[in-house]
Amino acid sequence: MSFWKKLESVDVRIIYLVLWIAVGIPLVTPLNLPLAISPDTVKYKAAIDALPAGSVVVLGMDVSPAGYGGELGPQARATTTHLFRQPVKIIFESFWDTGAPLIETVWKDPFVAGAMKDKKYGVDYVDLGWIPGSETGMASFAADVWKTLEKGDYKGTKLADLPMMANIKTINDVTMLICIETGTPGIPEYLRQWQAKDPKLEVLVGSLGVDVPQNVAYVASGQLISLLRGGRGAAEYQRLLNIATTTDIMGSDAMTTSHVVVLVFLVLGNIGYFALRKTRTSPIKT
Amino acid sequence: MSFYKRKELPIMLTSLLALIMIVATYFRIKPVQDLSTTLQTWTLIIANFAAILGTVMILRQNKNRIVNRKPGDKSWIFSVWLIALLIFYLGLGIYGVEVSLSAMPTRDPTFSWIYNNAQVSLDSAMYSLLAFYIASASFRAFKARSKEAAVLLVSAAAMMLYNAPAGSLVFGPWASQFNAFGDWLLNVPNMAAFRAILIGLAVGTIAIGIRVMTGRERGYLGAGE
Repeated sequence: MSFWKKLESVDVRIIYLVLWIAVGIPLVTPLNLPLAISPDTVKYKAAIDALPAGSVVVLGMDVSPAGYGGELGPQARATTTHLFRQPVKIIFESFWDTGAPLIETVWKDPFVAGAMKDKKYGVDYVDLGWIPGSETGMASFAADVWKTLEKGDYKGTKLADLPMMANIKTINDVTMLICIETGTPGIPEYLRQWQAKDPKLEVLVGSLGVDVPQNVAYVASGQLISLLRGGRGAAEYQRLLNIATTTDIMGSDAMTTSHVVVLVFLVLGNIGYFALRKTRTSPIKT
Repeated sequence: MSFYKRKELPIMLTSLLALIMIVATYFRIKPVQDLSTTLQTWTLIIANFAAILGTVMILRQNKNRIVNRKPGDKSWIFSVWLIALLIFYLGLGIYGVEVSLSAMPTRDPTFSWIYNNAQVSLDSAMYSLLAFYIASASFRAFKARSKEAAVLLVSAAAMMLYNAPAGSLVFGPWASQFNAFGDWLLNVPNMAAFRAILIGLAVGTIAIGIRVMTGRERGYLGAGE
């Protein structure tokens, strides 16, 4: 097999090995690659900074464990830390049954725990847990929070026993929604059921990298103030808040090196393809 | 045909409920809006029954795989494992270990520990494996075989680097120009395509809604319709 042919069809095991090494090195020794903070992340942070004291913010933890482990976990932890540092009231909820248990996991993060130590449950924040019904559940919540949550909060405490909930009856009593989203139900459903009922509702989204192309359309239309763009957005936001741990830096470095490796293989594959193109009599079978 | 077997009844019911929702959304008529809220609360209760139905279906399907196992086929072991874990975790969620029934057993520390240390870790690992598959697949698929393929290749490579936390660094002093190019790709060609898709979806949804309300779309009534 010629050199160019080998270059064009590198064995899959070599690709896996190189990728494994490229991901492994930053996970052993952080490279501390510098980051250029994107305007979206700056706007996301500024929107939270600008919240007036006493504002009610809903943090929708609409995530799957798969999305949480990589890109959305760091976004959720940074957003929660930032919110707890502000003089606002926070409602945690999830329309994903898989997302609700992760709310408490976020609270255990050292930065979140530090920021919430002076906050009182039921007065400054509540966890409403999993709300069933997907988009219909969202519609029900928007129309009547109390009727939707007759079960109470995540521990079964009735809303009447949570002082913070006394004046929160419909979506019109909420200032901002921040959705950390994996998929459906997510931002399109929130916009249809919540923002359509209350056009003043400010919305931010922490999204997976694959959802960014869809969500930028909502930013341009003015329905979303801004968004965090996958792992990149999470890393930028953590550095803006100065809460990036060594593990977080290792993760974002590994993400960068893995992307670069894929790109290098793309270039090599195309060099091989063009070198061989003239010698070919028929197109390559794919 | 007896009255309750006729298709007209569910179609009429669907049309009536859809009409209530439409009126409640577009007109401020208090009684209709209250009725709409009540109907939505009912949906939440019905949605919970879907979970029971799903559990029963999974149990039934896997029971059949065990009962009808063929000689030499060992895959039925996985069905036994699935049923055992399902019953164990369901029991743990309902009864809890360290908290009483009255205090939401799904917040039980043991229940949460298993979720955080098994489900989250396994799901994340599965998702992360995609990186290897994508690397291999993109290497084989992204070849500039035509002008269109070349455009796809350049766009994909640019977006890949653009989405990596420190991807633009590869371009050294031209990092800001690269970021501007990434922004343009996302905000112009991508957005134009996505807006078209979103608007198409919205129009399609309205069309389907009208077909359902007028009884022309009967797929939801069952097979053969």
